[in-house]
Amino acid sequence: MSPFFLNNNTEQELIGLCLEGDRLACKQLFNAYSGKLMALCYRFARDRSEAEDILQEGFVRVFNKLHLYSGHGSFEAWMKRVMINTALKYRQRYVVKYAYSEIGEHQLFDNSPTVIQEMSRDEILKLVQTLPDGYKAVFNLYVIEGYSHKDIAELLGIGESTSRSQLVKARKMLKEKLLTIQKLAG
Amino acid sequence: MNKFDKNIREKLIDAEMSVSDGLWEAIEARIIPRRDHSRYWFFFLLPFLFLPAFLVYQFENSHTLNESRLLETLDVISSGDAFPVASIDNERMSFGFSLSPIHFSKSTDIQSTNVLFHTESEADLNSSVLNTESAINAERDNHRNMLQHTPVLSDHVKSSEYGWNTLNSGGEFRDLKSPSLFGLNTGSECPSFNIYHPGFYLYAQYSSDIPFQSLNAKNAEFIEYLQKRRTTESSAYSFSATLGVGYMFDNGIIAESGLAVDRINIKFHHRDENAIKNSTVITIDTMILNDIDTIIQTDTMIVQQTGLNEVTTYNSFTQIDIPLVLGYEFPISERLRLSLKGGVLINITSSNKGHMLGLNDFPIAYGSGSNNDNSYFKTNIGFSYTGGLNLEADLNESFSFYAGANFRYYPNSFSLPSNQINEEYTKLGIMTGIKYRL
Repeated sequence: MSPFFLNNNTEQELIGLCLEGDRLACKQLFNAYSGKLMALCYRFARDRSEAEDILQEGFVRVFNKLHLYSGHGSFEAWMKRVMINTALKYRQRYVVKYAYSEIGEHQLFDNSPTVIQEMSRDEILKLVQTLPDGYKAVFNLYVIEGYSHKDIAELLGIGESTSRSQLVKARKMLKEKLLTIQKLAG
Repeated sequence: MNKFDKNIREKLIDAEMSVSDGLWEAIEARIIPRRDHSRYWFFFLLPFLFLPAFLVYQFENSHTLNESRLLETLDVISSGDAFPVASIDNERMSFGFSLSPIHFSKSTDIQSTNVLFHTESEADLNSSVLNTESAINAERDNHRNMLQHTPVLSDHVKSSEYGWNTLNSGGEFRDLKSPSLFGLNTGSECPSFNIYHPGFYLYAQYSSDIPFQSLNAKNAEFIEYLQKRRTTESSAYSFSATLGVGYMFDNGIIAESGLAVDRINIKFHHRDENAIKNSTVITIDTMILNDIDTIIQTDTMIVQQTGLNEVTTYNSFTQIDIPLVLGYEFPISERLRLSLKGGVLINITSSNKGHMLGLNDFPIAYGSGSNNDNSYFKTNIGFSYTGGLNLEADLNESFSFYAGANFRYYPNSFSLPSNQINEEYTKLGIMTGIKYRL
């Protein structure tokens, strides 16, 4: 659902105004989506500062390429795609290679869903954010954004099987972390 | 997606985070204002705005016969090279050729003249000529002066007291036998009334163009640089102008040459948010001690400032060429023609001036006025191809106006062979021009 916009302009009207160079309309779009997109960028970034860099770069692309938005489909989904591409390019640019670390096999508790329920949104966000870059990218794209392994493979330039294995390893790592948190709390 | 994934997704899918103050300002400063193309379209549409007005003007005046043209026609007749058909009565005198008689108002000197003959078609013409030849002979004595001295007829016709009008335009008449008429020796065949204007002419034309730039790296290691450079350069309004002389053959083929000036403009825009500016600050302190001793102390320091640096310039590539153009004119009506032209332009000299992104991501100047005169681009680009389609309309006997679309393709790179980036151009434009027939 589209966020609430000031002075009752619809999303399409705001996009039209932005295309005409109306900076106030651009700011309205930014205000409407920046929170959600910041959280998205944060999931792909290493820290808040990096997330803001990505967000800034992404919004510049959104506004400079706004004429390429066809008007069909969700504008929010289009912006998310732009942000994800920006985040991935940013990581490729500043981090030479994704760090894929091996995780040892550990016995995993299957009570992790309960732990997740008890955790706040920020805590989970920070937890996901601590994943190594490669795992984080695959986990975010697959679990949160709903991309298929095929799409992820194309986007990251890796094989589908690599995408699957990275997802499995990301899950394992998250469950490990949850186990640690549970032990510390318990 | 398993339960673990679902739980995390539900928690994060709608997550929001606050952003730092000032982030919007940073984004706003980097939004590139969309270029307003409307002013460019104005230049392109300008010729077409004039064209309908011109055509209306032509239509409104199409019933008025040009004086010199009629006199020229009469001269042809009087010289015996043409086969005139005339109808003279109390109301008017018709004068023309087969299907297209030209009618003009009567003259006082011929007011009493009886109808000699009046034809509307070639068949009628021939029969009328035969039937009326005897009548003509009979009239000869009564109208000796007029019949024997064609200039007298011309004088009457061009009298400003009466003027004349044409009801229909002329056409092409061939192979008509020309009997003796009005005592004139008309033994030859009728001339071909060609709607072309064979002979030499001068022309001047101007084209509003939009250039299309093509940048290609010779080496794969420059691809990243090339991508950055492409973001800094964009097309800008360009133009070309030509003065020349042409020759039109009587079959519609045209040949033109002259001197052409061609300008390609490219907008260069570079933005450096972390530009460092070094300023030298010289401080001179003068101290006066006890009103006697004066000490002057000079300090020099360099202050480094970091800030936003934007460079926006219009790069220009100016060529002077000799055009060698061939074309063909397709007649549409007596006054309108469609001309198709194509040819080559031989470059005499090429100059350039502007900025481009250097390999170190900083703008570098080139061309006249910079320290790198012609270090990157050729001073002669060889040759280029041109072609176009124009609609041409006669303004009068001497001048004609034309407008249309044209292109120019530069097959050779503008950059020097030592430059790792090939820079090529193609231009599309809207052309207007004027011709003066000599």
